[in-house]
Amino acid sequence: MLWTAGLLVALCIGSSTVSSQPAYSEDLVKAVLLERIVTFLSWSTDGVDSPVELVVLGEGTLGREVQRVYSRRKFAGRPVAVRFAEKLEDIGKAHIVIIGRDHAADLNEVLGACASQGVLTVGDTPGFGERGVAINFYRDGTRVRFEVAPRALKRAGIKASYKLLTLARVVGGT
Amino acid sequence: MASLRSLTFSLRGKLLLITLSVLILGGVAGMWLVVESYRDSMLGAAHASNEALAATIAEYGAAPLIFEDVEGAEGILEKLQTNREVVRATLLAESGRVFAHYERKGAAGTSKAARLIAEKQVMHEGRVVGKLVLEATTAAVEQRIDAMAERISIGIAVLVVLCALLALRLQLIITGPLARLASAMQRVGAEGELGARERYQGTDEIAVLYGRFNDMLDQLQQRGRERDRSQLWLRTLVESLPDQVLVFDSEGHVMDVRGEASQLPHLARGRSIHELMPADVAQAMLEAVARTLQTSQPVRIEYQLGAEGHHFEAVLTPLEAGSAENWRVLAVSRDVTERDRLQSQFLRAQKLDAVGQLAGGVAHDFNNLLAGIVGYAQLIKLGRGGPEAGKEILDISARASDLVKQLLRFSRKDTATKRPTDVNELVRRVESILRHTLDPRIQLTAELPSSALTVHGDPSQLESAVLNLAVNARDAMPSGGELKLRARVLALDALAISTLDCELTPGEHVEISVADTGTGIAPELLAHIFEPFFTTKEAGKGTGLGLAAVYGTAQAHRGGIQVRSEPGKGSVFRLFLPRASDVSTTVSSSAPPRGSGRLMLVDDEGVVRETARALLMELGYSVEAFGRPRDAITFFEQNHRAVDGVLLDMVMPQLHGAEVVERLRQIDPEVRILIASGYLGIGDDDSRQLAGLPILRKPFTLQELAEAVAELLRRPSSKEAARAHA
Repeated sequence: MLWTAGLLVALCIGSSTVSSQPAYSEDLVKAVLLERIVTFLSWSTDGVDSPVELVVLGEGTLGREVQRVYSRRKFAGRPVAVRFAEKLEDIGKAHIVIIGRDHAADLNEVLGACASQGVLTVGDTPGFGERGVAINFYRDGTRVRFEVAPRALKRAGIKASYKLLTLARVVGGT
Repeated sequence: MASLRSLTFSLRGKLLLITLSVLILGGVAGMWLVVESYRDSMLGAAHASNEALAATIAEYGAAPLIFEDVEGAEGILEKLQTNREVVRATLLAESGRVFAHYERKGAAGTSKAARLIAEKQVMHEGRVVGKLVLEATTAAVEQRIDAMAERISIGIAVLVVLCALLALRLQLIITGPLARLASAMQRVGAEGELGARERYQGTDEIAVLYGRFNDMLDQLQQRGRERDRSQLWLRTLVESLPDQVLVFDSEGHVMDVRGEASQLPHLARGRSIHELMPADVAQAMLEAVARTLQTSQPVRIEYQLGAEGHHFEAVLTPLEAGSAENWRVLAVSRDVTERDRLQSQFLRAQKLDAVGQLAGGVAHDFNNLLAGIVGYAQLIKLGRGGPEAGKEILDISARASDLVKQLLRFSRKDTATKRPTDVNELVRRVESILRHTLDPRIQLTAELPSSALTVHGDPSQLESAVLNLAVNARDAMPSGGELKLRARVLALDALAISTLDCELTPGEHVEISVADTGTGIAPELLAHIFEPFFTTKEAGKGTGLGLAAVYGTAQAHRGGIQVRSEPGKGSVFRLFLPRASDVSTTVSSSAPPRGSGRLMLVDDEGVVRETARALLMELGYSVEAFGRPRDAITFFEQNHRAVDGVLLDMVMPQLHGAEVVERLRQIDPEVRILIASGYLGIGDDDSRQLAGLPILRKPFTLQELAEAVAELLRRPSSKEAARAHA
């Protein structure tokens, strides 16, 4: 509990600002932001008691940071199960798929595979948002910001709060 | 309010003032209500709007707070720039730290503008993540309210002006008809134009006013016609009066002349009362004028005018005429000389008529009695009557004497001789008389107590009264019936007396009642039965004096009489007499006392004189009888020392008895005189000459004569008698 409080305080101080607070890595900020973004989303087929199935596809440090941060605490109020997948076929059942930058080439296939209902696609690679990744983090100077692709969310059957959209950069049309 | 009432505006001005006052007050009140209502509404709306805006901003502020996105938050707050009312907005983090702030530039606001502060918690996922404080000003609202008030004020002002103009026109609806009515009233009041009628179409209050006005004029016209007619009648009446009708002022000047007086040229207006009448009459008239004005009551005066002594009667009545000095006196004067003469004649005729009635009744009774006396006398003359005939003659004579006493009693010339009298004996005597004279069909009963009932009275009068009542009872039963005599003692207190219709003194009374079962007396006649000459009997059967005499007897004995009667059933007369202590009544000795001495008898009536002389001589006296008083006086001058007593008649043609008494006393002051008279003249009762002299009432019996003469000779001389009387 003390740990959680300390983390939250830390996040509150610089969750979206990485440059001014070098003590917190960009991935940590993204991991925390991802958890907060999820609080503004609602899955139409979400099971209440089922753990959040989070799959990290390809390379990237964000997945590991997520695993590290949420291995001992709930993710948006629910337990989270983080798995790592190398190939597209290894994704399996998932609620959230963090797509690494190494899948930029087959992003369309990945997105096609994730087209099944209820999969939130997340990236931290520039241009992924325009290409159809639902949530895509990007750097804005010293700040970490994120893009939201409403169409991708709609395809996944996920509803995003308008509040989220006031802060995000909306990409890919509505 | 009083000052408003004292305003001297015209009705038009008042109506305008009322209209404008109502309009302005109503407008201001209405404007105040509208503005205040609008203000409440606008402020409420502003407050609600501020709250809603704060809630919205707080909603949007959740994400920036969650994501620590200050720029995002400021971006949201910057959106408030479009809202002029919002002057300040602060987004606070959960810790209370200012996360983002917005302040509108140049938002000073007006002095009367209020601040609306809304605080909203920023929630996310059911958790408080911050707070939004939003501050707005009501300046814009106040501006809109002021603008609205201004518009309403202008509207009201315009409305007032328009209404004033309209009222100026509309008030003519009210003031126009009133002005017409006032004009009509002016014509009625100033010119007496009672035909002035005004018409008004409508059913409102003014129509009622017009109706009342026209009705009032109708009534005035009607009353005017009635007054004119009444005045005409009165004038005709006054002018045709046989009286002199004059109106004087308070100084006695003639102001108006009417009636018969208007025919007299000297009774001209303006002349003084002194010019019209002799000084003494004028003075009396002036005093009457002053008295009637002073008392406001009619004053009646009588006066004589002219050489022939015409007798006038005048009634003066005050005539009210405004102030006191303008009052007048109406004098209605009439020559009553002829009326007085006729009245005197009438009274004389009436008296003669009464005397005629009386004489008729008396003559009838006397004729009957004389017939009896003559009859018995003839029997004696024929030598067949015996002592019984003489007794009958005496009885009849006694009845004749009673009749005379009744007459005298009625004329109040008879003096009652009161002494203790036993009522039982009296009633028994009446009963005895009745038993011999009543129709056999009448059943007579007498109810008397065993003890003596004594009253202080004249037995003859009382017996006559009871007999009178009994005779009346008899006459009321021509076909027979019951006649009941009763005597008893009654203790009468004030309450009992109040039920008897007669004035009595509380105490023991002897009641003598005479009841019959005869025809009774009609109620309308009951009130008159005790009046003299009142009779229901046929002419010649009654004098009408009986009950009047009974009434007089009751009064003379401090008693009373009550009558109860019912037509067809009978009557009850109750005679009440104060009871006297029972003493033995004087009983005359059976034998007349004899005497001796020389008596002088003076009586102009030969029969009486001779009878009395014979009786006196029978009693043992020596008698010198004179028919003419002057002869008696002459004899007395020469022989007064030899005369022991004088028996003197009172009413004589040559010389009245009183003068004879005086002459005899001049000759011999010691002379003993016995007045023997059936009638004492006016004033004789208390004349100086007769004071203290004994009286022997005619007709007298031998017994009465003997007792009176014996008593006379036992009396002290005239001097002693005069001294005793003094």
